[in-house]
Amino acid sequence: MVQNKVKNYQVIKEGLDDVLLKLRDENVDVDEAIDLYKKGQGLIIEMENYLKTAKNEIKEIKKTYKKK
Amino acid sequence: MEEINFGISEFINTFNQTIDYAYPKVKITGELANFRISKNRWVYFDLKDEFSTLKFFGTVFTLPGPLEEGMLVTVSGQPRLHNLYGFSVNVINIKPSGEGSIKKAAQLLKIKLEKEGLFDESRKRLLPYPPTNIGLITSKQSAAYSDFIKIINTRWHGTKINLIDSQVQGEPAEDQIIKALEHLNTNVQDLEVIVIIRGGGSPEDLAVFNSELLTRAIAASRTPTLVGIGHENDISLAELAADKRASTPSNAAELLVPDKTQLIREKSLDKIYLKELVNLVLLKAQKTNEAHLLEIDDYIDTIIKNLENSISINSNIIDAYNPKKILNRGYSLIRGIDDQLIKDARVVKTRQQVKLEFAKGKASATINSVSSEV
Repeated sequence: MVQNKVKNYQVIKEGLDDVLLKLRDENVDVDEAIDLYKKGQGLIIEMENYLKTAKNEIKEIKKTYKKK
Repeated sequence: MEEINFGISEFINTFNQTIDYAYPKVKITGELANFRISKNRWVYFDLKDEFSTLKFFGTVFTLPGPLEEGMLVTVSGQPRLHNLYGFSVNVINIKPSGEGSIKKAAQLLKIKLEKEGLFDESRKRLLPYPPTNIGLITSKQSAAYSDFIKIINTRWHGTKINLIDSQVQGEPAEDQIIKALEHLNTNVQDLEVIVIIRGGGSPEDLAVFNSELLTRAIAASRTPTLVGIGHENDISLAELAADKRASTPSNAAELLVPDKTQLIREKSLDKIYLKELVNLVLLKAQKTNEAHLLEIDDYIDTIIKNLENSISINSNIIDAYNPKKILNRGYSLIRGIDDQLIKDARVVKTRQQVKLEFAKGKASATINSVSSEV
């Protein structure tokens, strides 16, 4: 479960890196840039959600340990 | 009585024969005077009392140790009339006599042997604990012997004891104990310790344990030694030279072997201590785990903060690349009717309909003229 999430985060991050790389290309036209921009924003949101979920999970784990 | 006419030498010979018959060996006690050693070999001194003085002659090997004038000593020897030097007693051995002299002689000898390093702590060897093979030198008839055996057998049954029955006081004691030491060191296999014990007694009784020869023999013993004399004060030189000293023969036995009963009781206590120790270790481990958890918490928090920072930076970068932001600076996008971007004037014609996209809002327009010049 955790491994998949780590992998997913890595996939998201790699996707974002790819988007940024393409956006830095001077030959990319506005429409493609707009698509990349939209894709990039989506990836950022995905990453933020992932992090939010991870933080909640950690919070739950901490609660469990403190009970013990 | 008929007078006999002697020649000088004849008289001396007759006199010596007569005295040898009547008093072959005498023991004389007196105050030491005119003591001198010649050529590191010959010893000359007088013994005197309130009214008389007697000459003595011997070798340094007969000395019990350093002596001082005024000491009371007992000399064993053979009376002789010498053809040149007159009457003297040929010394067989000398022993300090009386408590004061015995102590004084022991003090002087102690200083001498100390200088030689005979009592140095660095010479002391550890005794095996518990030993399985003991050499014991004592009088078999003594209470010291029975006390020692009783305690050894009660505390640690099964220890092998090689007894050498020896006198532990009086004239023969020194020689007997030294020979017993030699015998045990030479002839008994796998001997782990040699024990010399005797009960308490007067300074005269214990004088042998201050003898130089015995003290040296103990110090030279190849097998580690334990000496236990039944007195607390005035430690003898033999005890000082031994690897270990016991205060009494019973104490010697106690020092040599552990008490099995006590040992079993202590082992039971050990179990309790062990349990407490395990609890302590567990408690410590638990605390360590807690510390580890805190460490992990900090680590995770750091990772999360780093990720948040990274996301925020990437979000800003993405924002910076937002193509439409450039329109805020006054740029506009021009598209054809098919919504394709028009990047080159050469692809448009006069009166062609185009779509305009501003930072805010859209519009349509007609191309009035075209110039392909850049």
